[in-house]
Amino acid sequence: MSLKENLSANISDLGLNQQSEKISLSRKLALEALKTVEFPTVKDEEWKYTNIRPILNGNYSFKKPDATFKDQSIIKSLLIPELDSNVLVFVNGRFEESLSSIQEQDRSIFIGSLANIPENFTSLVDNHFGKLCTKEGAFTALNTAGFSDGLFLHVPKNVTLNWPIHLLNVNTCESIEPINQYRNLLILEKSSSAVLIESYHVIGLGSGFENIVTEVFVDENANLEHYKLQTACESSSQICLTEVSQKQNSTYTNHTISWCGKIIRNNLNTIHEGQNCLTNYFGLYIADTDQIIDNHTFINHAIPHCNSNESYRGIVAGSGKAVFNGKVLVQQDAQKTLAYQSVKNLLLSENATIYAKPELEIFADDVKCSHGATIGSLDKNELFYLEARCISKEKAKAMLTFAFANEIIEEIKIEALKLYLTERLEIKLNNVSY
Amino acid sequence: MLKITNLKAEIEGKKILKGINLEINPGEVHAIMGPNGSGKSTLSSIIAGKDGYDITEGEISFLGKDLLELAPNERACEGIFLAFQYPVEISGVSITNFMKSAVNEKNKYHGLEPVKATEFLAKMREKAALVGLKPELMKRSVNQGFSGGEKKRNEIFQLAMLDPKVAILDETDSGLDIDALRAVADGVNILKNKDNAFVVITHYQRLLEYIIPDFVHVLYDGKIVKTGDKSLALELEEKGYDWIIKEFQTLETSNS
Repeated sequence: MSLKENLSANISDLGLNQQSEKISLSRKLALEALKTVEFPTVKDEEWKYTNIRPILNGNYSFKKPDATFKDQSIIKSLLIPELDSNVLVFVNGRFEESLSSIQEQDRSIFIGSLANIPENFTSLVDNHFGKLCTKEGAFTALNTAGFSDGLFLHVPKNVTLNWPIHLLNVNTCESIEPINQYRNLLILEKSSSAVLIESYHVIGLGSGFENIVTEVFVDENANLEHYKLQTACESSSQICLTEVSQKQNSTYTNHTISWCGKIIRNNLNTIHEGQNCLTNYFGLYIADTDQIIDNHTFINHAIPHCNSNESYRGIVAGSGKAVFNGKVLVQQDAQKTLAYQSVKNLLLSENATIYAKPELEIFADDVKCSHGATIGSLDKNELFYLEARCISKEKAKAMLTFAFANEIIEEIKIEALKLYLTERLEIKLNNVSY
Repeated sequence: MLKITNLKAEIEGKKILKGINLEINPGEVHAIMGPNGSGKSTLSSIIAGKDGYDITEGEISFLGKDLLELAPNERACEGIFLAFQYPVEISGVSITNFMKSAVNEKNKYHGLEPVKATEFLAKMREKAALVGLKPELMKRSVNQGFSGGEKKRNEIFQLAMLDPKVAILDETDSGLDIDALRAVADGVNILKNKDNAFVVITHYQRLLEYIIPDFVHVLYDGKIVKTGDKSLALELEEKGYDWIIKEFQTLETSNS
């Protein structure tokens, strides 16, 4: 059964109640659209190097898992040590209130489930839902038609959250390979500020498929620091679309750290809708044997006087494969744009593959744009220097690789998170195939 | 302690070392001098274990072990230290982390426990002061943005941290001003004892005014063509290498 048929057959069992009329309508339209829209193949330029057939042909199930998961101690073990946060737990595609804890006291803030929004927020959701997903691809349509839940965040004007939000997405399926479809909607009003950490975890079988769509609205003067950690999702596959819209004087910073998963595809798109926006993208990917990690990023400079700054590092080991495509579009009106992009890759083995493509399209004439892409291997002289100081070749490789990757971790502003990822990165790099 | 016998080596078919014999005992300081391209750096690289050289003949024994059979890190753990002519920059690895890994790997090799953090930091401070390396450099990436003098002081600092049995200083004096030269030499003189040995590779006699050698060897065209005491270095400074080369060539012709 194809993914589409699979969804149609199971949609009534998904229990997709919805208070928002906009969402209900969007679901119907998406289900209709799915009849005609095709999933991408390697013949599509955007998907040339990432064959998603294993996902499409996978024996996944949309069925809601029967077993309930209430194990507080397991959730505790997944938290970031020493990080005080608002914890939101989604288990197998659904919000688990009993495992979550919101510390914010301000009642005007909403941090919760999109499947269960209070009545006073419905018009806000109606006005924003689906607005940024204009290019409806098959995965987006699949998500819109059948997402089970996701984060709805609303930070009102002039409010700064006291604690970061840690969004834990946990897959606990033992017997089936589930499809979890999350839909996140983030609205930051004028001069508000928030930090979101998304992390994905697998407990149990270790596989499955997650299809995630996130829409982010950052209003004037607002600031969102957004972390996505694909570092504990074992061998599940993920297709992620993050669409961001920024208004005047706003800042959006994204950190995407990926080293787990069978097939990972991250689409990260930002459009500027006001002057003086700042967009920062930082990314680190480590693809080892049998893994494909594909990051497609896009910054749409549509307005003058905006800055973007993008820095990705990739490590490919064993027979792993990584793809980076960084598109920066500077539209004709977007004078005085400053856009900087850098992607550096380290190949650790003969069979590792990396496709790195900076893609700059510049239609304005008074801008400063730069990009750089490198692919290399570990420096023999550096390795020998370490070996001549008692350090074994294996350890020397791990140290140099760590140093290479750590430049991205160093960009993380939350100390507890930085420490957590530093430790995990070290463990990861002691175990990749050099 | 370190014995090199009839060592011959090539790089990509080009003969560089053509039969080196050298014996180094504890408590000794050897200077190796010679014109450019005579094979000085090749000799030090081969002792330290750098790959890219074909050893066609000869052997190196170190404390009874066949040195050429050991990996570079094993040689270092056994007590060979090479102070590099051109220390590489390693971005993202701090000196502190680097030395901690080095000392712990050495301890592990000898079946010892990892070093305690407080003891280690105290030792770092002590040895850095010994060579005049600024403490704030310890947190910086290895050699990154260091001046020429700082890089060389850093080499001697690492030497002090690892306490080797045979230390080879490969043109440590090149690019040093007189203050740095003195600091490096003072460091070496403090570290020198009856159980260790130093091999100082240099072009100039200047460094040997501060580090007094017991033996001076002249390397020319892949061979040690003359060995003498410290006065040989002075003679070289005064007269250059030509007379030795001529003397050697005459000897070669008369032999054949």
